[in-house]
Amino acid sequence: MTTARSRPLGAAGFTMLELLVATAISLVLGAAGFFFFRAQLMSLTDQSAGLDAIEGSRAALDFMANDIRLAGLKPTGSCATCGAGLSGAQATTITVAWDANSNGTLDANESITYAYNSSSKAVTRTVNGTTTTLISNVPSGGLSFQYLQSDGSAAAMSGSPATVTTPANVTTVLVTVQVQAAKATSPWNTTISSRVTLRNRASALARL
Amino acid sequence: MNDMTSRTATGGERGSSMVLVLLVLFAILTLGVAGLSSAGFGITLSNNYRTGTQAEQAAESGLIHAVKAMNNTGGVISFLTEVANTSSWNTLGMGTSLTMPSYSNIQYTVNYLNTPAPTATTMWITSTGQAPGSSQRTINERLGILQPYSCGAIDLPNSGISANFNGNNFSVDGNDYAIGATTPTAGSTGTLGISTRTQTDADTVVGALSNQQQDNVAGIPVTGQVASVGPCTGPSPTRLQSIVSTALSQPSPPVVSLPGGNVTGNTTLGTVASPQITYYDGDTTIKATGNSSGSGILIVNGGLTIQGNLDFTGLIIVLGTTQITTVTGNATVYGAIWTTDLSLTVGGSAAVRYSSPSLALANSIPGLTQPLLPQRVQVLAWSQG
Repeated sequence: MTTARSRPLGAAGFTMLELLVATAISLVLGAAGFFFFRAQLMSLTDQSAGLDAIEGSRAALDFMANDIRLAGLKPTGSCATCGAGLSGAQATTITVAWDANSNGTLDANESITYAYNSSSKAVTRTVNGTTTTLISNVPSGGLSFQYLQSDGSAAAMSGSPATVTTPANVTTVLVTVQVQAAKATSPWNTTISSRVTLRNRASALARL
Repeated sequence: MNDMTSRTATGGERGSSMVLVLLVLFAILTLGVAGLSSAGFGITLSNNYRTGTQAEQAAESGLIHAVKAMNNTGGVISFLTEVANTSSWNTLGMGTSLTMPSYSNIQYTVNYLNTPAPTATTMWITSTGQAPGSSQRTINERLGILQPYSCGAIDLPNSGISANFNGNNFSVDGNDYAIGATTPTAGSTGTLGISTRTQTDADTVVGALSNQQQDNVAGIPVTGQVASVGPCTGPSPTRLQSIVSTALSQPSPPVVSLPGGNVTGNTTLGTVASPQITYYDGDTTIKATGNSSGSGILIVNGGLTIQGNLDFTGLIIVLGTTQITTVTGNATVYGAIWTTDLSLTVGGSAAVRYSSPSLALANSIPGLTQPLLPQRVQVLAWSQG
């Protein structure tokens, strides 16, 4: 028995103290590693969500800009019902119209309204009575339109809610979209703006 | 001894270090790959956005190029015969893929559209810009010609011109006047006072003006000089001849052909209500023995000398070998004068006032089978394809 208990030199095993110390160190290192990786993972998630927000807001802005730019287009040279191509021009709502099918008149599906829906926190696009969501996670005040004239001054607005008095004078619309990163651990908003020139205004057409 | 042998067989490794290290490495690798993937996706999106914008700007450049190419010929009389056909389009240098200067990987191609069908006064062109990564954008524009223009109140299409100014009681004004108005139309753009085709010829004209005469030539300001004199891409001498030939091929009336010589007495060469094309075949002198007036287009195949009183509304074209316009009476011209050489010797008073309504009148003389004067191409509508 005595012989069996004796251990060879260098293979003495671990004492309880050694095990406890080793376990404690392992726990500390493990915890540090866990929190480190968790922080990295959260950062990655945040960045990914932020990227989504930036790309989403940019896509939404481009979508709106493409429509707003065409406001007032009259391919045949005349469109009695097209008006100024811009109506209901308010701080968070805009309606643009153009003769898309070149038939010389404004059809129901040739008028597009962009607006902010505060209950769903989304920017909506309405065409011919059908409303679709352009982008979600837009905080309150996250969509704004500013209307500028050819000399750079703000177009006059009146009424309640304030609406552009003479839409035909508007040559540029400054669109700002703010989107909240959906999966970020803390609220993180991205804001993107674009100056959109109404390309079918006389001032833009006479650029040459 | 058996225990010792057994431990030696495992290579001296104890615990789970290898497993832990592999797990950690795997976790780091996963994070890294996810991060790289996310960043790479973002870079791709940004790059696509950038090249898309480049393609759009290239398409815009193509449209500007095409319109400038049309206007550099001096303008368009009819899209059908001068632009919207294959040979004319190729002559303008369009129809093939063109590279953006300094950006060898960005191209644009501009073509005219047959649908909607072009007319004499309107047409559609389409421009496609291409950038790296197969990015492509297409923009369409509807073009129109609205009214004739002149590069200057007095336009000198020839090169190597001579100019001579005597007296100080003359006014050449490139600001835009309504017919008969004494002040320019508010808010109108106007044109140069005297225009040439080259800077050298413009310098010749400016050099011929004394210091006192410089401010007699008004119009679009020219940097560094008082007189509104500068080069401009108007009709070439060849095109001027072509315009005259077309004008003379029109029915009679409104064309009235007369021999050159002295014009005496009270001569009426058309009225604003009934303008006409008056053609003098040879050197012509409007003598100071009466009051002459006219409206429409006055063509002189030779030198024109105005010694008497003349009120003219429209366009005066002076061709021929002498090619001198001399004013010693009281002359007022609303519209423009296109002359190969210029000599103003003013004893009475002379006023040449650029007037786009007068040129429009000259281009719409009743009885014409087609417009005669080139007009600047303008963009009427813009859309994305």
